Amino acid sequence: MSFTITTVYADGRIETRDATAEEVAQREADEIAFEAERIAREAAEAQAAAAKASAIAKLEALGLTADEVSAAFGFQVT
Amino acid sequence: MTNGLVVMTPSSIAYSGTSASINADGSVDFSAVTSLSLNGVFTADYDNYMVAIRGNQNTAATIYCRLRVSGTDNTTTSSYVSQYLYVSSTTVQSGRNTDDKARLFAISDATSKYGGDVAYFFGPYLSQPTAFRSVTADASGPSIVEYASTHNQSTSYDGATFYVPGGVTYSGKITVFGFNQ
Repeated sequence: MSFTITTVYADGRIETRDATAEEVAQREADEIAFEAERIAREAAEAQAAAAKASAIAKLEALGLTADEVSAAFGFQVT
Repeated sequence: MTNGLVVMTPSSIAYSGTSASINADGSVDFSAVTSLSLNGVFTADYDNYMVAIRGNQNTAATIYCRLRVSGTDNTTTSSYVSQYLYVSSTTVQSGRNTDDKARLFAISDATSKYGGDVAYFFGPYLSQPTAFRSVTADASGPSIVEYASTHNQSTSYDGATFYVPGGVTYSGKITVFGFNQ
């Protein structure tokens, strides 16, 4: 990975340089962390959605209506 | 000087991406950047600051922030803790991240990818831990994303870097104000 960094000064001067090895390493570490976080978040969201669907199904099996489930537990049954 | 907000014109900005510029009024316009650093916006003149930002991204994503001094970001492991609250229609989510960066803004709407944010920085120039507080509103939806963050390093910072990883680019305008009191 390589990228450039452009610096603009308040007096109008502009300088462009290649990112340093440290800046490249930090960018790469940030990308790896971002991807790991995205995977974990999507897994957690899928797990939460499955748990919600399961809970709704069990409540409806007990005889609650969708309106009653929404009123009692605060989420929309779709 | 009258009490109120004072525009903090950056002494310089640094970016990676398509373009960015410092306007005569002290605001900064940026187009398709992946990172944008504002230098010299925190000074000994004021303790607390407000950052107003509006813009759009090429995809919905969180904007991260690191404090910086003399052109170098602070990336101390686990030094930033961000608590978030996300509300969209009847869905409410929350969570906490301990990281080498703060979560500051988020555009969560995948359709419009447009939003506005206000963030407060408490004591970034002081040699003591810094606190942040921010609220994002998506232009479509709408949804609300709030962050409360802390950074535990007792360092005096003169600027901040905002960045979005994952191939996301961000365009818009950002202005830093000091609280004159």
